[in-house]
Amino acid sequence: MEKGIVVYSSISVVHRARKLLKKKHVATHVVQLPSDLGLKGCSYGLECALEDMDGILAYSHEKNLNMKAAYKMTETESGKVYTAYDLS
Amino acid sequence: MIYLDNAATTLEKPGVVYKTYFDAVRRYSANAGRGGHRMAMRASEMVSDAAEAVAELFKIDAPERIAFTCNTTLALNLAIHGLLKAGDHVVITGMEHNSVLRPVVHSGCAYSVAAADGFGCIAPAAVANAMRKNTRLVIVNHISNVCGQIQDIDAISKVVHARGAFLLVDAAQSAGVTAIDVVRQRIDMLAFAGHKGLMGPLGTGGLYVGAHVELSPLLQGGSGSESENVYQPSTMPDLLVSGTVNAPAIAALGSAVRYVQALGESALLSHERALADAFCARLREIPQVKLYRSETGGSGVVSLNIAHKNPVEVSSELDTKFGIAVRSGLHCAPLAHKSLSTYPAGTVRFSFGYFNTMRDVEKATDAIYKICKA
Ligand SMILES: Cc1ncc(COP(=O)(O)O)c(C=O)c1O
Repeated sequence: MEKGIVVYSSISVVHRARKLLKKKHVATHVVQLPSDLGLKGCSYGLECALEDMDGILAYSHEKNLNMKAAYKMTETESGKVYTAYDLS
Repeated sequence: MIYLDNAATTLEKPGVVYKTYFDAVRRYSANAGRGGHRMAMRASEMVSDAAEAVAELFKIDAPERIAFTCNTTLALNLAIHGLLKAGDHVVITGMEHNSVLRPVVHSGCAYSVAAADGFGCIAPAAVANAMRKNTRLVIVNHISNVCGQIQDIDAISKVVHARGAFLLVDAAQSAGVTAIDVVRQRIDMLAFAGHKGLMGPLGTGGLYVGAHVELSPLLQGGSGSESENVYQPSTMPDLLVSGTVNAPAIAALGSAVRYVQALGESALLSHERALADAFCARLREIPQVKLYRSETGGSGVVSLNIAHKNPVEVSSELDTKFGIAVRSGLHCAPLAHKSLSTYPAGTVRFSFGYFNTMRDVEKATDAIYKICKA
């Protein structure tokens, strides 16, 4: 299974993004991210359907929601694999 | 008991504030921003909701620029010590509280005081005259906790920015009472109390920091983010908030802010000013009473003295004989009392709040009549 993950600058931004997206009927939920991802920023992110990812990134740029990183997350038998996703 | 010490803290809170607080204490007291379980998420969401409410009230476009603190004093210290560097010059006004004066003195930076007139009013020209080439920060008390004088932040802001300094507004007495728009008024940093005019619980306050202002953190510690980094994260609010936050109190502050917002802009000021006006009008008839209040109409804060009586004697008599709670002395603001020529004995301060009524005004003025007659 593949999912999108968007990492924002702080937990407050994560919650704000989730609420704004909910108003646009885009379902996301807050997840804690593994600390070995080497994130410079919040340890929390929004998990979303992969097909919503580009729309969420564009909307976050539009709303000045400060993003730190984005990933495509793939669930494999040996665990979750995170692949960097282009933020722009 | 008639409580007229709302400038210290508002005693009575809107019902929704108690409800939010107790619900949060009982049901959502996990550690906000620490851990990924739903209880921790719920707690951090409550804090974020409160930040959104505060952001709306002060017209802040990014709620994450707000760091919640336990009071205004901590917010002022975060701003002052976070911004100032050796060689900087600071301007404060003749109406500042010790929570501004002491950190500025402690910073070791040179500072000048923009003088107030005898009513506690700071002319923008007084600020301009006090500024130097290396003035980095100007700090202005929005509403005086001694005499209720309201400063013209718009005009002062123009002077400050024309000379390239930052403006820090001490909104301890004004937050929730009167309108504040950090964008339109070009307020670079705003330190506010949650427990006074906003009618939130004790132990709440906060600091707004504009995106263009770079602060270094006064405190360092766990932020729930970038845990592998030995330095404090550079993103707000984690830059300024270390350690477990008082999420139930912050959540209740969020409810308080929504309540105040629903009352309408400056609703508290109109109510409190009307009470203070009526109070002053009755007291002007007593020759022994000297009032200290803005001529142009201040907030709900009024100071007075009674001829030949020490302010502490008066407040103690009001408490013990009449059941009226007021505060006397210097109100942690010796500079303000020097400006009003009431230093060192100070004054008796009556501060009206949203839940006071005209009946409280009558009882207080009757008590003063009796004290003067005795
Ligand atoms: C003008 C002013 N600034 C700062 C403070 C300090 O506020 P706090 O008690 O929230 O730290 C007060 C408190 O009365 C005040 O009146």
